[in-house]
Amino acid sequence: MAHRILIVDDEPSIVVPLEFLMKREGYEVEVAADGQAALDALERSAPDLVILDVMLPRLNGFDVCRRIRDAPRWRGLKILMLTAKGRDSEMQRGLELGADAYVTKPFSTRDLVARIRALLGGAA
Amino acid sequence: MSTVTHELRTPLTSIRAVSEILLDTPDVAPDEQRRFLAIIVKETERLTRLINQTLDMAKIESGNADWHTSELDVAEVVRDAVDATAQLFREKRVTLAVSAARPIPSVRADRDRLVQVLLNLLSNAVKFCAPGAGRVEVRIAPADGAVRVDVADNGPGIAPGDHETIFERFKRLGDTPEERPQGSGLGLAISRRIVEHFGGRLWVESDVGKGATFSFTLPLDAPAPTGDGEPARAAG
Repeated sequence: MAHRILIVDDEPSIVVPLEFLMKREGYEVEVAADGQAALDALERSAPDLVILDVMLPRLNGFDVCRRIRDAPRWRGLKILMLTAKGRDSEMQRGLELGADAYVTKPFSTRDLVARIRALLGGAA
Repeated sequence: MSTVTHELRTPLTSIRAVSEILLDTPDVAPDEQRRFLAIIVKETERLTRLINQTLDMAKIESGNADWHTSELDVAEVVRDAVDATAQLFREKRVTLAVSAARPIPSVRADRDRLVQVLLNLLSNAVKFCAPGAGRVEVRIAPADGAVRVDVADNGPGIAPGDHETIFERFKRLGDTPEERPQGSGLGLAISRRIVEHFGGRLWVESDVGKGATFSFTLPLDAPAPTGDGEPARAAG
């Protein structure tokens, strides 16, 4: 069965290529445009991995990350944080909150795909 | 600076991702290709606007902007700005009314810069108006040793706590992601500096649900703006 990926970003110009890329790699894709919508989507469906932007309306990516890690029912969910802030302190914060990977924008699509594949244990 | 970097990274991310997909994917459907290419064009425009406005802001702040000051009929400059934005108003079916008290004394300012301020206020007004039901009113009147221009809209309004925030760089309140490419987040910050350069003020009066009125003044006998580009208010 295909892995499911939740994309959380409020920029349509970034969501469009991300969605295409993930579908091209054979994943099932869902999209949420803000932090609260991301948590709502997690309640509805159980993705295997979340691509999580940091700067989001309503609830930011760090808060979403913390909420996911505080909830035992989402144990095992992989979190890849995506951010336009390249500072090391930001990356440190994301990883401390329990993100599995931290990718800065602009990213290489090949690199992103490779990291997601690795997080999900190889097969699509 | 870190905010500018963030604002630049977003369109760059989009352009890079879409381009790499087009390069790496052998069988992208033609309509999908067009959609991706349109994203590249749009994000490139967004980047250009952002770079231009950031440079413009830096120029004004460092005192290196060129100011071409001349005697201006504000009503005539308003007419030019209104003509330039007519299409925006038509597309969104927002009505635009202009009223000018007569006679209006002339002021000394930079014509292109004044147009820039008016275009910013008018395009903001139309952006936040409801399609088909929006109404924008521009009023020009003498006021206490100055000419005052009001741009009033019947949009959603702005909470008093945000009245100063919106003049800060990259502080956007109501833009939806679809609208965001149109706004660099610098327009009001630049407009305020332009008005202040000529000794005037730019502010907003508004409340949630009550529309917003952006007003600026240009003093009639403005002190000659200093050569090093310091805002004229510093000279008073």
